Amino acid sequence: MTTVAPTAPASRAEPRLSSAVRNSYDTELSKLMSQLPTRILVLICALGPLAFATVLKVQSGTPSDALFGFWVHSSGFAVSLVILGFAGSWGFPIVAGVLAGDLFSSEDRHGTWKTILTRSCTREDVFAGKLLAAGTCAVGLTFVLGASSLIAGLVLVGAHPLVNLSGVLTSPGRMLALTVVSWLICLLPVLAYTSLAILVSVATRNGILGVLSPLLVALLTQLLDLIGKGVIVHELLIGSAFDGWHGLFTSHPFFGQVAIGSLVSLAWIGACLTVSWRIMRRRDFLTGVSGGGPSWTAPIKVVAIGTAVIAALAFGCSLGPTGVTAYRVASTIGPEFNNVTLLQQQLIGRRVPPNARLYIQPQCNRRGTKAIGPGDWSCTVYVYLPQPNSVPYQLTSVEYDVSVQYNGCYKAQSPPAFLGGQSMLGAAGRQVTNPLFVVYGCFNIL
Amino acid sequence: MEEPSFYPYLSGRSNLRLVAKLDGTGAGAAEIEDALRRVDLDSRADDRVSGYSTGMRQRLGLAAALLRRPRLLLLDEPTSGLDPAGTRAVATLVRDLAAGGVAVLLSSHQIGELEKVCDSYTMLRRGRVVWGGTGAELEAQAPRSAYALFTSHDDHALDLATQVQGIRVQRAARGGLVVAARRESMDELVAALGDARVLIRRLELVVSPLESMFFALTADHEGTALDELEPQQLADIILAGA
Repeated sequence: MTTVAPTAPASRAEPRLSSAVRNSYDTELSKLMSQLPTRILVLICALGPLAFATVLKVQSGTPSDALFGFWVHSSGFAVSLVILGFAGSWGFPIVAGVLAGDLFSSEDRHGTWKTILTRSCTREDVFAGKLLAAGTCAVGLTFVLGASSLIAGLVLVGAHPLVNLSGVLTSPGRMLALTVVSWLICLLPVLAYTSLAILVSVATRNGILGVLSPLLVALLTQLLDLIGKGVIVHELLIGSAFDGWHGLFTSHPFFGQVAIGSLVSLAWIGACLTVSWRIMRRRDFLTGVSGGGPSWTAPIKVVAIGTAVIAALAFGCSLGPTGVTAYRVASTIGPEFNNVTLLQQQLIGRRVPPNARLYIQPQCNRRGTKAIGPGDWSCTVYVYLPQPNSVPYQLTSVEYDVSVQYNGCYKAQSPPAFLGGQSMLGAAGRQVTNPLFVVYGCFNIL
Repeated sequence: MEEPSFYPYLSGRSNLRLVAKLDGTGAGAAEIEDALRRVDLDSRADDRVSGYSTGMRQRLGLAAALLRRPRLLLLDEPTSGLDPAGTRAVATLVRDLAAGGVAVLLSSHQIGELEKVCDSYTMLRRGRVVWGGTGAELEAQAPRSAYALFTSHDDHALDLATQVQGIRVQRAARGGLVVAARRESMDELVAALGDARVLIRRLELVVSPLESMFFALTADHEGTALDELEPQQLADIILAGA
């Protein structure tokens, strides 16, 4: 039934693919940035590190369980690295989930698929635009968090040298470069988590599952890190890719974990986005039924598949070579003890000759039933001190409680009675941090 | 167009910006403002869509369509769920669009709404076109319309009506009469009632020519041409519809 006032049709040029994708990208970016959760995330990423550094500044305690946590009062770089460690475990999964977990399912919730697909863009354009927007926001928030944590640390604590993971005091310039590179290394795994959230959002059309999925995978990664000795399954998890930067902070850097983590992240990105696109392409938006079946079955399928995957991972996480062994722990902690002992002597004003070296023999054993793997270890460091007119050395030993993580990083601590307190009187008459009180280190598990 | 969906966390204006961007037609702020003004949403354009009524959403959907500067506009049940004021506003807008050179194809089951805005009609039955023509052609070809007639002496009016050719009349269940007639016959009846000093207290068109045509064409007499239908059959159809 019509009212008609026809005019001659005019030709209208088809928009080029690239411009359609760009339009879709602009639209999706605008939508994302208009949403309250995204704005809250931006605020947290921008101001959270500042608040964290401020709280640390006004209290004497340190988050010493985190890598570099003992040094947050001594060097601003430690603040940024502690935040990076936390972000790798929990922060980035939350960011990815909030940004991408509801990206596709929200269109179902609001009934807006027809609104956007009946405009001058195809589902390919919409899909590409959403991916690019989520990726842009994820990368952007990573930059904001990294920059904010660095600025907060450097402003509130200072650009002071920091003891690296081999016990060597490292210059601020080198620390700055390493810290920046570490944040950059995390971009790929952040995008991998983002892709995972997108996949769940597309497959289940359920925003809650989409938002929670990266967090659940992060939790699973943490749990799997506590069990099993093999490195194969662990290295295939997205969460393990966030450990790659640790190797940069040793005196003899190792890059295997960075390379594997990046490849694994790329594989996750490729797999998640390929499956997402296949689901999206086959979906019938007119009837609301996808090629994969009614939408209410999707969450059940996801839960079933997820359970099977978890079981398989738990079963297989002992496969492959062992990452944490007594030899690796001992051969790392020995040289590091040498370095931090000499550093301590320098800090209290004693002269340490160049290339000075203690004669050290460490002996490490894992507590508990298993002889290898992450967990609590006990290391006895035997030190042979050269004594004038003595034949040949004086022997002393230090007991360290070493908490070794799956990724090869550890925190070693000894009773204060033996090595002194958390701080000590420095050469300039000021209190300085005792580098022997808490020792952080990392070794290559590959 | 039926139940257009927008992002509830964005304002009406922001939603239009998004769809304009997706179109890539280069519709800018001026076009968006113009579209908002034409659908009478300019005063609420910065409110979130989550606070819009159904009618406002329908009008926002129309505004989104207008951003494309359409030469042909397809509207499917555009007044679905609207209050009378909203329905009137949409009808006015459609008429304005048509006057401005836009061809509007409006699909609706609310026939009364169509008669206010359309100047030609196409009727479908089971997916096939069964009739098409202008308003004048409809008037000429439509079967009898139906009227509700309330008078001071319904018995007398009933007698008079039965004497007019081409009229079928019945007592209505709730009082008054139901008269099935073409316009000329109805004029004759009204004149006769006046001559007989029977006062007309209310005369309502309850089944319009468009409705009567629709009932005639879509009722269960498939295969019979409109002209071949018996008057009785037509009247029954109309009265059943009334």
